[in-house]
Amino acid sequence: MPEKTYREALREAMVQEMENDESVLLMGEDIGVYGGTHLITDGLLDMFGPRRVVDTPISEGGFTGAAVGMAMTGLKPIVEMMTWNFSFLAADQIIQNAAKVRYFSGGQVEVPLVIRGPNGGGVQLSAQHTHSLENMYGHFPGLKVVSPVTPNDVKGMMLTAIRDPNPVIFLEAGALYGTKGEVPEGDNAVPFGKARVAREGDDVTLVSYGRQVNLCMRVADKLEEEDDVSAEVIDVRSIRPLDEETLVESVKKTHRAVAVQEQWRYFGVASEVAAIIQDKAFDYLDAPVERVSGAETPAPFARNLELAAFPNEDMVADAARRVLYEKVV
Amino acid sequence: MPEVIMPKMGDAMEEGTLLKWLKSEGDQVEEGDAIAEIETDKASMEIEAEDSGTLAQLIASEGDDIPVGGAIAFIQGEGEEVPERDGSESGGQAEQEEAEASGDEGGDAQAQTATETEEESEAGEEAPSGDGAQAAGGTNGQVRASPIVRRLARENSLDLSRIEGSGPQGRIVERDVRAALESGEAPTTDGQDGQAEQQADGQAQEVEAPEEVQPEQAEQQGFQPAKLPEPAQTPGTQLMEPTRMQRVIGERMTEAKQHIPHFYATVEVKMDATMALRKQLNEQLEEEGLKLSVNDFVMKACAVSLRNYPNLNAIYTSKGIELHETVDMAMAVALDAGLITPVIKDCASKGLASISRESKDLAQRARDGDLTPDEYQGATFTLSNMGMFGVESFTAIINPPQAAIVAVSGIVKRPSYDEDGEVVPASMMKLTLSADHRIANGRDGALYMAEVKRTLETPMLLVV
Repeated sequence: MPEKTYREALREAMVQEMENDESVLLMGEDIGVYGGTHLITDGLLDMFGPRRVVDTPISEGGFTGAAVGMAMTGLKPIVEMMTWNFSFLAADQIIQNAAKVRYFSGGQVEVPLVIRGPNGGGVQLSAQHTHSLENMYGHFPGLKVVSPVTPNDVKGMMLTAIRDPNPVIFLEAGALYGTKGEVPEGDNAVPFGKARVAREGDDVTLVSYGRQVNLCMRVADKLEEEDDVSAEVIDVRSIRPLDEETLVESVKKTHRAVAVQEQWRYFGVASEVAAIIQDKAFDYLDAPVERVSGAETPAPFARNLELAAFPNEDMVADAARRVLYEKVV
Repeated sequence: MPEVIMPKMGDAMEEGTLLKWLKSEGDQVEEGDAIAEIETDKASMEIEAEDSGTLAQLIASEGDDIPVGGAIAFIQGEGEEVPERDGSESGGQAEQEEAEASGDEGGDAQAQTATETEEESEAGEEAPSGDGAQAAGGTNGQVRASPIVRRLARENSLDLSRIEGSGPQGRIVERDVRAALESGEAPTTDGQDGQAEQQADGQAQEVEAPEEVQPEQAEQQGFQPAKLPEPAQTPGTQLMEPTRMQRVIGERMTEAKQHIPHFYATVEVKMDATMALRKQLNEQLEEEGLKLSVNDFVMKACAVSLRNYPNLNAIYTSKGIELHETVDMAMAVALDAGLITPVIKDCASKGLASISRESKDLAQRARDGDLTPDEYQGATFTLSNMGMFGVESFTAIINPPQAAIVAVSGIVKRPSYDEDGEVVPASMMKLTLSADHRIANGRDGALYMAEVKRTLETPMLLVV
């Protein structure tokens, strides 16, 4: 199977669907002539022309609103947020219109809209440019929210997102655009609402999504080496709908769970994961579900502080050791 | 958007298994069309569409167990939308899990199959020191222990107050219980030594397959689940999942054998007179296309004889022994998937011809899976006949909450003495009564069986 970068896989999905379906088009700041701030759409203006690769003004609320209107009237726009931090300006369009039009119209009007861009931090962009917004968008019925981490999943989930008749919030692992992985040619659509067991294990379940999945995989190796502990790693990848079944089944096997997220601790996805596990696997738990989260502070710029503010291997491994009662406090 | 739900086919029904889809997703269905086949613990039947439209979504998969009221499909009328089913791709299972979690039985699938009494005791056990533990002086309510430890303690009747916890603030965690079980020194709430060892052996398996253990039952009855061997899984072996019906039979028979103090009484009946009468009647009835079986006579005889022994035609209820005037006679019918006991209502008042017609019809429809719940529920007495298989004698397990059951064996030709002391051939048949000693005593059983014997040996009594 060919190896591709996350960026190439993402681009491939959009090209594939643009070739298959004339109603698919791209919109965003600097995505055409410049090729995209993160070069995701590089070369696509030449392939599809300015009517399908539309450079917009710096006006997130305006072009997102326009895209909602296009989607309502039959097009399938893919809107690039240069980063998800700028989506606050478009939140009114996303939450008040995109998420609700289908409901308001009694199902008569669909909004087949994809909004995509890099989410999260880790590359010293400081407080205003470092947010993980999966819990915020995941909160609203009417939106679907996904956060793929592998090149295979970013392609497969983008195919599914474009074909979905509902607005999809597509959160990319911005720090991982250059990472490589196997990606099949053709249609590898990955369904929403189905978590991926990234590594099988018996003693503790590490639950995560996006960039933190790679962290959990490293921690699983570490736990195996240092503690002879077999950790299962679950990549949730679809935040809403959330695959409760895979979580519950895993915890029924391991009896312990650690939920890892880059975003802040309170009201985050990890809290939701912990709630589901205690609700549906209570009698199988041997320890409270641990959450490992970002520090309760706006993201710092300084590299040493930024590293300290995000989950790292030691934090996750320690949490796993606590639920395994290796560290008794 | 009408939901098709798992119907409640009987009072005791809590869930059903979706056996087979008869329609596919996207098919047009008319009101009244059969769309799926379901199986309850008693029978299988078809679910009919209550609306017309497109079968837009099959939520459940074949083989899924769906709680009563749980959605199994959507029928989409014209211009309607299929609703989003958030949370999971396999909506059926998500739905089911939600139902389980929101039900008052708790989230465990095991609770779904628990009987009502078990639910009550589970609900009453909110302070985790359940009746059993308290009686034995256990203090499981006050110790710190993780949820899985409490579950293991329930399943193995462990006294947690005597296990040292290695977690924070002395919390007992899974490894502490496992160590105790493995060492064979796990303290049990009933204080019986030697059991711990047994449990330690069977322990690994119980933890692997907790669904199979009935902790509440185990605690209430002081019954320890037997040590089950691991499957050999060698070539030439095959692991079979019991059907829903087989599981229910197993549960009910286990319950009967554990709760009901059975006693038995066997009589040998000389059947020549009945055989002769049967031959004579069948010749007369041939034109009507009716053929009486020996079983019809035995059923009638057992029913009529009960008139003087009401405590054998009784139900053991929560409030006492309920004596029934009417004999609603269940008869065991063997099926490929198990067995079922359709009921001939008011059997004592019916003529042999009615009994014969009705029993043939019920047996046929039982084999076809076409019985309705009221046709196999509510019996007061049961007959089980294995005579047609050449069985010479057997005893049956009482069908709770009934008081008694009669096992009918085959007719065997034997030498016997006539009035002059000459050896003559006779057709002999053994009947064995199993009765509940909480309801009836040996004398009742003996006198009743003597009455049945007298009736069958003087079969004209059955036609008057």
